Amino acid sequence: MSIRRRLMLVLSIGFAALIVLTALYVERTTRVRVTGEFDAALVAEARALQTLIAEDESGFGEWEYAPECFPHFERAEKPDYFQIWLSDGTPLQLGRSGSLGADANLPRWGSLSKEPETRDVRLPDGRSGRAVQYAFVPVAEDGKGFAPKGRTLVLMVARGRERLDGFLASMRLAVFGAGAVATLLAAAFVWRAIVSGLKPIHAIAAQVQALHADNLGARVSAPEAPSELAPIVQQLNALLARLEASFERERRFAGHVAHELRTPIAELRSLAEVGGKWPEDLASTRRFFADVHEISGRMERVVVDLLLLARCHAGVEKFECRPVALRQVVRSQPGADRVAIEVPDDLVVDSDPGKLSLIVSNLLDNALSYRANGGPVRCVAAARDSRFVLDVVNPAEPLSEEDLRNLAEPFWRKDRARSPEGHSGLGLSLVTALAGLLGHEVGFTQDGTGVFRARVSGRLWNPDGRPKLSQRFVADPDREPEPEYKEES
Amino acid sequence: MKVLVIEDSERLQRSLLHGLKSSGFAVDVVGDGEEGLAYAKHGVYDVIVLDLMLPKVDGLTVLKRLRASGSDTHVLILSAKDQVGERVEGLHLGADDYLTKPFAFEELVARIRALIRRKYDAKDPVLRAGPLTIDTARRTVSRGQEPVPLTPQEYAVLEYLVTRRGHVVSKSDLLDHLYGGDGAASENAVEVLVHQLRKKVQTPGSPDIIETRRGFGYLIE
Repeated sequence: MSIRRRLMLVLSIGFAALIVLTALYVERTTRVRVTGEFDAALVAEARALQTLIAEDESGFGEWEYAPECFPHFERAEKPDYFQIWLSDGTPLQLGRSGSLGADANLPRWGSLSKEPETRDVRLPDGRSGRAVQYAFVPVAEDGKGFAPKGRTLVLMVARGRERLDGFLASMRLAVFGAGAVATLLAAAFVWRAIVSGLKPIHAIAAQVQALHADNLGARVSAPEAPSELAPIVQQLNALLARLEASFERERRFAGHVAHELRTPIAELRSLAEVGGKWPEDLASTRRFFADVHEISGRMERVVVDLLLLARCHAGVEKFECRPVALRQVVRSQPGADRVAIEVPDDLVVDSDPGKLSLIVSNLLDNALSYRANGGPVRCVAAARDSRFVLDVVNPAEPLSEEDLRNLAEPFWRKDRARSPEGHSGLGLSLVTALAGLLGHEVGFTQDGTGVFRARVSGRLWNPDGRPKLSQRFVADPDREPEPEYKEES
Repeated sequence: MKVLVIEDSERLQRSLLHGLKSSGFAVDVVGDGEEGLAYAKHGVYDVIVLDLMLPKVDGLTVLKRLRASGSDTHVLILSAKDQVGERVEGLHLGADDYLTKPFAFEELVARIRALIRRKYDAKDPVLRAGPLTIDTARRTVSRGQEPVPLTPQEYAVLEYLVTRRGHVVSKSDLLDHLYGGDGAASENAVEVLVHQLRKKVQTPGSPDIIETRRGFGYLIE
């Protein structure tokens, strides 16, 4: 169910319930109050009649009721009624309204309470009515009660409910009608509020829907969105930025791969066509074959490196960590004789020897190939706490921060045309991927003097505190930050 | 016809040098932009085949500087960059043609020949000199319906003289356009070549197609 429908349903039901409850409360309060006033009027009427009865020592003496003063008790149409009984229920002949006629009686109930009690009754003429009944002792003329000998009388006054019911019906109609209208208005208001409230979400959804692989540079813009949506828009845009960067990397990678293959294919094709067209020049043809062999070897290396890179990224490249003497690994690399090696003999690290060798060979090859002005290349390693730090250092052409970030990108080269022969641009990508696989860390920095530093760090070999051999590396989130490494003087 | 190839791939240099020479071009090959620019500015070339990603000075900079120096030598860019924007940029900077790697060698030769024809304002690949018909596309020469068999170098001399019809071509100029800058031949070799060519194309009793202007060079009217 959509948010709009859910909100509409919940809020409408809530508003409707609130309005119904309010209407019921208003109706009840008004009904009770109006009925109370109606009853109070009846009681007042009864009290007035009561004052017309006087008691003397001989008993019920005076009845000062004058019908002309109480025409509503006498009229033929929709009259009021009263009746007086002795406490034993014997009706008094004179104590009755003219509207009762000679035979009819009001529906007296058995209570002899002196407190006026009101009830709904059926009037003698068949109408619904309201009656008040209470018992009293007539008051002596001297104003004293005739309690010891006095007779208790019961007085009932009844009146038709037409006006009360009419008023209550009008009141109910007004209250419930207003409630119904209010419910409809509330529903409309809720609908409008929801539509208005969800408008920014729809705007964002429309923008997101318009996104596809070709326009990932677009960003979601919702300047009128409520503050609650701002973090969502912000995160969405951050996600888009990451997605765009990822797509861009993929595009660059595909472009780089295509480009890297174009040149050797062009070489192969040209050699094949020229050699095939003029085969009589045997010396050239032999040289062409040698070139073809060299090119195919270079392409094979690129493909092998790409496959290794893909396996590392997919996490399917197998490795086996064991104690590795770092100095031996460094010294066994081609070109190590051109590098100043400052690696302690007893530095034993926890790594895969083959993969670590690939990392070191790529770093040394990179340093030797790209060192500025044939400057010195140093390979320095040291132990820090439970970790090793290996630095390959060489003077280099100035690299920007972006260059340093791009170093690990496959096929990235600062100046493709100036790249030494045989470098495909996969070396540092492989270093980064292999280090990630082994749980080592890699970083590239350049100081103000132009000295480039490739740093690999990882765990020292610790037979008591490491997992069994052949286990996959599991990143340790509690690992302490890399300690600042200072070269030994 | 003389071609300068500026290409940093040694393997491509070798195959292009061999193939273009075998196709009758005099070829100079250099491996970086700096050297290529120096050759292009100081040599006389019919076409320059220019790679873009070059050491020292990149190809587009070479092209810009070449045009800035006033050179109108036809330039064919030969590059692995295949995007439309990259091709358009190269052409906007003054290149006359653009061929992406990998390429068919025959296509490269055909495009070079087309640029040479454009240089000499000869849209028709078939040239005529007296009774001779020279098909520059097929690299054949015929007299009427009769083919005239020529070696690649003899053909190159004839084509070069015909494309410069009405202009005296010096021996050193011919030497340069036949053998490039490799210094493997002398002007005597040019004289021998022209002599052999005359014998093959000359009709007995007719005036010489190739005239000798002593002290200056050769001329086809």
